[in-house]
Amino acid sequence: MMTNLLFILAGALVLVGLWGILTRRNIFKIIIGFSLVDTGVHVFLVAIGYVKNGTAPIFDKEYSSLHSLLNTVDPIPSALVLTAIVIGLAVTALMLSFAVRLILKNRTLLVDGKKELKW
Amino acid sequence: MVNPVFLIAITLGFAFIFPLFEKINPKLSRLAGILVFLTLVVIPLIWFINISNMDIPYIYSSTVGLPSNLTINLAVSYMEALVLLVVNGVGLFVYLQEAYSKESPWKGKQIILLSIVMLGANGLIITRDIFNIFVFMEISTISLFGLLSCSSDDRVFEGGFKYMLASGLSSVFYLIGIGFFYLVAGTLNLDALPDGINFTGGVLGVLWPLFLLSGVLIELKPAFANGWGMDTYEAADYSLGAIMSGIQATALIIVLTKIIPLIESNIIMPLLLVVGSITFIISHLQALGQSSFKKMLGYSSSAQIGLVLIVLGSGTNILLAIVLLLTHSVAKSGLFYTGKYFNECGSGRDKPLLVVLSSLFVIALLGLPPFPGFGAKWTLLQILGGKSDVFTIFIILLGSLLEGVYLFRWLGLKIKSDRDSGLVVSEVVPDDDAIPGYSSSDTIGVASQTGLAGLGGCIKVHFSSDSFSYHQLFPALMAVIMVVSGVVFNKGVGLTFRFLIPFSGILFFVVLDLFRVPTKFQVFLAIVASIILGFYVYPELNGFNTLFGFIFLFGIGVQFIAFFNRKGYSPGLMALTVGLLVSLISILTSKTNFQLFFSWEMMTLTSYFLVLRGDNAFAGGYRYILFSLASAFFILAGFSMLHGIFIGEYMSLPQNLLPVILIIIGIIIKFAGIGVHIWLPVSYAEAENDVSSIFSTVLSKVGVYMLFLGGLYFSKRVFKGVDTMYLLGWIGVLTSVAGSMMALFQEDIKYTLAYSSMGQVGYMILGFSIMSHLGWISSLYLVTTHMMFIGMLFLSVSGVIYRTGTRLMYQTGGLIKRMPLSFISALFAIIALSGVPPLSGFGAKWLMYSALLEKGWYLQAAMAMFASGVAFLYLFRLIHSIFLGQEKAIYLNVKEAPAPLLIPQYIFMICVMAISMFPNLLIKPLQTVIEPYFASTVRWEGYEVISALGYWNGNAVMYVTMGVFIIPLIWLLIVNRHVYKVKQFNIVYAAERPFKPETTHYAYNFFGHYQKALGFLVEPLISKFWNGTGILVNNLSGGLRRWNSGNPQGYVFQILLYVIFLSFLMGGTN
Repeated sequence: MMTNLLFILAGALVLVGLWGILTRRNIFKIIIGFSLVDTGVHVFLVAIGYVKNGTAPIFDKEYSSLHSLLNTVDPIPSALVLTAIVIGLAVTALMLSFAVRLILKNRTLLVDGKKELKW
Repeated sequence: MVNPVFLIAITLGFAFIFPLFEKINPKLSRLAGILVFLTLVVIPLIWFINISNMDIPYIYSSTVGLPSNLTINLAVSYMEALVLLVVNGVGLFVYLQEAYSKESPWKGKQIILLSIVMLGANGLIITRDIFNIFVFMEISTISLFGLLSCSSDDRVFEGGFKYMLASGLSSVFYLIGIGFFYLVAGTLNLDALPDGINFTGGVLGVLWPLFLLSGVLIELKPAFANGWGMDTYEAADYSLGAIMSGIQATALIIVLTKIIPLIESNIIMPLLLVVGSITFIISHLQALGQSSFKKMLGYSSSAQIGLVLIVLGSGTNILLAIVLLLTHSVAKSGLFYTGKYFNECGSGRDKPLLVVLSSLFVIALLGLPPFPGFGAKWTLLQILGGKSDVFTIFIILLGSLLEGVYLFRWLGLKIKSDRDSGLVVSEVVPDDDAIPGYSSSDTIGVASQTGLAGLGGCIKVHFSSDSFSYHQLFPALMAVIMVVSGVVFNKGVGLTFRFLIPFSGILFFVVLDLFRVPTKFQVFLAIVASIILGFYVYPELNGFNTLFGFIFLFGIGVQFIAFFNRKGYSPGLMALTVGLLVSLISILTSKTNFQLFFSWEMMTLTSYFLVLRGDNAFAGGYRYILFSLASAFFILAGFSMLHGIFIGEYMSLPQNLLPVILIIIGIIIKFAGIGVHIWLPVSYAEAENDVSSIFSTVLSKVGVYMLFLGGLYFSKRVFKGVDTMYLLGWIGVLTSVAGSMMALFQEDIKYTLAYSSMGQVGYMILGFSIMSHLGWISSLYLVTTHMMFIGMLFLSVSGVIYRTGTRLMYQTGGLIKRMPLSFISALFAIIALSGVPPLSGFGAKWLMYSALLEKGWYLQAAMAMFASGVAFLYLFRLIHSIFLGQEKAIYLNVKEAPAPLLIPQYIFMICVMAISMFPNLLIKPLQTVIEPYFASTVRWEGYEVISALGYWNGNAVMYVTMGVFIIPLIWLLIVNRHVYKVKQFNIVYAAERPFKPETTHYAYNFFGHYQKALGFLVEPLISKFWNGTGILVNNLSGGLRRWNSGNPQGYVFQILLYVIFLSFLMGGTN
């Protein structure tokens, strides 16, 4: 149930983010939308490995029992998410820096305020 | 063996250390960079050699020292080594170009970023882990964004922002795909996938391939979701274009080849085929309307990726896709750089190296010989043809043609002279009520056709010292590597050593050009070379090949003499002409379709560049290459369905109709049949005079040769109830009527001759299509004699143009006294051409009519007769306007044409006279050639040839005609004293003011009265049709371009649409 909720949350985040990207014209809002989509995907990946009442995949005393061994949370998706978050951060930072340059050049916050490249 | 992980370590390490190095010693650090990028090339080279020599399937590395199913694996097989070699080669090339650039060389962060781009690309190629692919994808795009931000054009932030949105979305899709994949497979390691796992069951079975594919495909910039990429191409620096299309796209395709085997083939193959086809066609169409060079190349890259997807989707050998991909990678990055220098410097006439390099890269991109893409495309089409996959063949060839449309347009515009308006200029007689001075075609026509036209023989391209910079060495090196690899690859596909002779010929004369050897000496060498070639090749030829070998060698060899008229240096001229001659001979000695087509394309290319040498030749050359390409592609499509059987072995060829139709259409375009003739007049007319003459005498016969080569294979095919040969016969006769009619109304002498040549080839086709002994004899007889008399005529006219400087007939006149030798040659040629007794043309016509009547084609015979009547009229006009009539004051000091132009004319004349006197000199050999096909229906008695319908004695005809002419001649000489001479402009106009004095000249609008009566026949309907087609394609392109609106959110929407489209494709095939 919990996992399903996570999946639904992930889907909702992605959709909200996409909606934001498609409908907002403010560059920063678009970037926020983009971050939402990213977060949604991260939640989705975490949900894949999630086990209800499971054990953290860390070698310690708790981990010795068979029960906990069978109910370990899958560490791979978590590792993926960590990497994805870092990459997402880099992309967002770059996007923001481009956005700043764009805004300074075009003197507008609107993403389609001034189109010099088309067709 | 070097561990693959070193590729990553080296690039990353260099990126870290470089800033320190640069602080210490900038020069040394740049040298270290060369070392690093060179190492990146050397390592895959070692792998490549080892893998191919030592039979190890691949080099494998599991990182961290754990068992391979627990780690991220790196693997290099034959394919990866090859791709790495090329991609890193391009990287080295970019580094050398940019780090040592004269203005604003790359420093610090840019070099670090380039190193990281290479890291990403190398990682993508060697990794065997689905998630690791994502990481490397992000590494290479993020470093690319960094490089973008350093671009000189500040619009790049707009483009880059769009790119980020798109690539961000694609990585989101890819991540989701990874999630679903992990749910299904339980691992991300491509080498540790559990056996027997069911990838296709349930919703998940569709979801993971959908998202993984969406992620990769969108990064590959497929049509109709690639506007963001194109906007970036437009604003980014040239080198970034090279990186995007040469490095990143190549690496991503390799990623795709890793994912494809995971997905069930009945889903993925049709999907790739559809996606690839759409991208290939639409992107080419979008590229067509671009004014920005970089954006055009961007669309072209996208389209080329589409082609690779088609190949992957067609289930043929993956190596073909790789070869196409790598050819594209190198050629495109090379073109980005030559384009950069070109766009900075305007016209390329004084930049020979740039011209040569750009031409080579364009040719390589189009998959023409000698580059690897040619062999790959050929093999691909053979496989598709074997599977009767007509649709895919059609898509591939249509796309390639569209690509030719814009690449050759760009190339032509770069090579054209500054005086070239780029338009087709032909002198048009204005309507009676036209307002004087407002007829645009007229004013342009006169301006460009008079005066200096005669200087066509002088040097166009010259070397200037500042045109060369060592920077161009790198593209040159790339081009050389490509040519060599192309030759090796095509040799693997089926070329023998002999087909490389054209290159050695071209190369030899290029070297002579480099050493500034005067053209005259080169011509001498070329004549010697053609004699040697003749001795070398002649023993191998038999049947038709002997005849055409004679025409090609003798025709071009004799006309080489005319080149002696050139002064100084004509760089490239002899290289191209010799290349043309050798390719023609290679066509004759071909033993397989591949060899034949290879030489055919070599012929097309060399002749195209010969046309482009003309002063106003852009439009002519452009039409020439487009129609030639179309023709070649039709033939190629036909060849692909012959199951590898040589077209010369007509007995064993497959019996289906489609290849026959395709090949015949190709040939019709090549000989400029009616409807597809518009390329011929303008290219023949605007080429340099001595070159035009070679085109008209020799090159026009190549299409005819192809017909005879296929021979009986083409006959007895029924298309919708009609014999194909009957249709071809009609095309032949209509071509001859149209050619003659259009020749009638030209003011420009070269147009007259060009149309005339078209009409005469129509006769040859008619003769062939009769499919009888007599028909073929008449056709081959005309092929041989036409070569001679059109050569006389063209060279004689060349002499006139050379001396007077005008191509307009009414501007000359009375030259008989100044240029008597040229007059005699023209007179004989005209008698021969128009088919009046006693010269050889009469024999040709007699044979032709006999054959037509024998066959029962009465209407065709009547039309052929009408056409030859018309031919007489325009020839009469020619000789009357130029040589007879009154002298123009400005031409009083004109001298006889120079000897180099006269000698070939008289050589031809001797041949024509000999054949006219003794027809069996030619007809007997022709009979032996035709014997294997048709039993003889004529017999010989002495010099008399007897057919079922009558006899012809060349000797007797000659004597009778001479007698008939001598009596009036004597009479004229007697009465000549009483002739009253009228002054030239002695014409009284009643209340009418001529808008320019030339219009009062009798030779102006010579056949105006016929034009009023029959002009409707020559309405430029066909030109209008083709112009309309051009406009239609341009409008289509314009419409498609507008789809990419430039709005970032629009692009995001397109990407979402694209994913939905992909999901429909998957659902549809499921």
